[in-house]
Amino acid sequence: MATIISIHSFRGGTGKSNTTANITALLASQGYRVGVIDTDIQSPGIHVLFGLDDDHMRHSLNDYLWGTCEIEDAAHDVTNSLGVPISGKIFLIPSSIKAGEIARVLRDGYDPGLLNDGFQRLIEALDLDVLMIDTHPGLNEETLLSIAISDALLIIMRPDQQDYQGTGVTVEVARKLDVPHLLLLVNKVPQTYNMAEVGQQIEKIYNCPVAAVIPHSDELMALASAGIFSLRYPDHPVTAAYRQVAARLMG
Amino acid sequence: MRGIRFGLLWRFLLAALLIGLVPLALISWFAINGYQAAGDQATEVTRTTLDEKSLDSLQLRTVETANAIARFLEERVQDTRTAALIPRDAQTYAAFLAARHAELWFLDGTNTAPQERREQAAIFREIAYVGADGRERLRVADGKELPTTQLRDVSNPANTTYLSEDYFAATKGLSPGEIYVSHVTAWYVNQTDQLGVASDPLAAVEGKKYDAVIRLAAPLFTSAGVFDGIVVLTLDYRHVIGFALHILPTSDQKFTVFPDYASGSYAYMFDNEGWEIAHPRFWVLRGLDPSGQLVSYVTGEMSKEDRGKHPMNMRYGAWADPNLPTMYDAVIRGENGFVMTVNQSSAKKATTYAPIFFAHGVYKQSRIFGALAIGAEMAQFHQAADQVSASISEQRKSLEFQMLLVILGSVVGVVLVAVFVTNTISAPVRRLGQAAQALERGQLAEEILDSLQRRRFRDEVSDLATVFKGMAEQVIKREDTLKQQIVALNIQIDDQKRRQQVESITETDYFQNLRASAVQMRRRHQERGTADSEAVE
Repeated sequence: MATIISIHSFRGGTGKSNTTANITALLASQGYRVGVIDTDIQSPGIHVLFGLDDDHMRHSLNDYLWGTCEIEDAAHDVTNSLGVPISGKIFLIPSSIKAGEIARVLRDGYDPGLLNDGFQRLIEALDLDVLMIDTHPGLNEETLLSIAISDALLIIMRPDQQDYQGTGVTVEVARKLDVPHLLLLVNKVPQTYNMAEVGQQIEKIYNCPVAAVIPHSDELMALASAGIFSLRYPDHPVTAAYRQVAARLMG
Repeated sequence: MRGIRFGLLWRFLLAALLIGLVPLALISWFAINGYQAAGDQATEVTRTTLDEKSLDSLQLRTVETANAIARFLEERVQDTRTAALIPRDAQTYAAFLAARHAELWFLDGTNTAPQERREQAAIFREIAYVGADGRERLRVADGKELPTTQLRDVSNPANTTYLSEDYFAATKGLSPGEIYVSHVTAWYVNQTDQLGVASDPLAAVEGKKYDAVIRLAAPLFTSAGVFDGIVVLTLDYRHVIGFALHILPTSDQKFTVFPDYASGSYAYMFDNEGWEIAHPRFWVLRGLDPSGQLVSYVTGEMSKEDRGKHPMNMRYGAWADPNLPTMYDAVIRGENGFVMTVNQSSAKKATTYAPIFFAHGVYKQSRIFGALAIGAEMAQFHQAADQVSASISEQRKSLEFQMLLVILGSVVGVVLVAVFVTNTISAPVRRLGQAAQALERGQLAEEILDSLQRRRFRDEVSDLATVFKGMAEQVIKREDTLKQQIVALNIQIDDQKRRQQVESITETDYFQNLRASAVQMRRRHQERGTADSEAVE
């Protein structure tokens, strides 16, 4: 039985892709075979964290959606490009970063039903234990679909006014879709705040468990851009927070 | 954080030390040096003054002693006149001798155990009446009349005691009232005779003495005025030489039984011909050889051994000391004075001299018997000044020690005051620093700030504490407001709007379908997963 986990945020810039990559890496280092699918077709980005560049991208999610390849053909084994040996496996299904292909998706759209089929096939073909879905911000059809089929949903938010309102909507919608595990992660919290208080406050307002409150730190931002933080700094308090989030998502 | 940390304590300490100690040290330095300079000057003045006074006093003593010698000789001339008047018999002559005594002071005993003695001795050893033909008629010596067999014809000098005396001829030619006086007459005593085995004259108690006489004679005339012979008195010269030898110029005692030649401080005499006639070293004194001739004077060309065999004549003594002929010439001119000599160990010696005025017999022409000279080591003059100098030096050391104590005491005092003052200034500043650190942690160190404000003596730090407290309160208040603003933000969710937004999604057909199929889809992939795991099993 594979676990499908969606990572979502109402707005961009919350650190969604970064959190996805770290949780993926921590699960894989526990021995899981983990697939990561970047459904943020309009603004892809997670491939950079796994060290996959344009030249080595054979096929992408776009190719599958347009029927030019099978979904498993778009899966790239990035386990060895992490720089740290791990016991599990990571397969990345990236979105195309070619400007023309991004524009085509925006212009023509695609059948969201294909995604669900693709997820199922991917789990079977690659014998995955976990499938991580890096969603597109906002609540469009394919995102709602991802949420609907997920066993666990992690909503990432920042402590600012725009996120409070949007996250409230997302939580409400996710409830209506009966997602079994619904968790919040408060990211990039200014250090002047009391982290524990912020967590309690958010939990109380949304009536939803908060998996972690991660402070904003320039140091963290600088290190994160250089690779996957939790693998490079396994003993850092932030890595410990990611590890806890991963465990709760796995139920 | 860069630069050397130079705390308040050190600044105050340095400032206090500079202000307090530098002037003190300078004053001490000037005081000590001034003291020393004044002391040196005082010593120098004292020395000079003492030297001058000592010299004056020595000069005076020389003149007075010379005058005393002259008086003594003059009295002997009177004695001679008296002798010419008294009856010419042995009894009268013996009584004459016995009536004239004076004290002699001399060393007796042995070299190793000298004894000082004072004895009354006759001034005249002999008195003789010589007839007009030159034959001695009556001669009394040491109180006894000599037998006629021992009477001589002294008109022939070869018959006289010293084989060359011409007092008969000299006196015979004198007018009534005139007195003949001879030079100092003695057998010459050389160095070996005097010293024997002793190393210097003072130690030579057992050595040969300078046994000299002076003949005084008066012509005698009959009532008709016809020359009737002479009366001759033989003066024991020990009474004269004692005037010089007993002088101790540089001591409080003033007199000595015999001078220490080695000390350089002693007196001597020379006669009108320049011959030395009083001196602790007898071999420099005028004397006759066994044939009755004067022993020639010592010269610079002589060997050291020969120099002990010839007397000194001042006129020819320039080789030994250029002052000797100078003094002789001055004395002959009737002048007294002093000369300075510097010996080989650069010690200064002063010699004062004064003529002995006497105009009888052989001295009639020069009107001078000779002179008395007193030599004295200058160093001994300013013993007093040296004591003053030593005392000043000691005082200076004591002053230096006291100054040092004062400076050390001041250092301790300055350090204590600086530490105290610094603490009263820096302790509040330090506490203010602690309050600032507390503010960094977000705390208002109220206790510290209040105590700083409430101090008994208010100063700039108190004012600063007041300002600081106000500032800290504002900072903390602002921070609290910011924290409250976060809570307020959390609350600002528009429920109405949210509901509308949720509904706009959930009311779509897509969502309704999705919701219906979601459960199914989840179940399906889970079933497949279960089937997979079962297949694996």
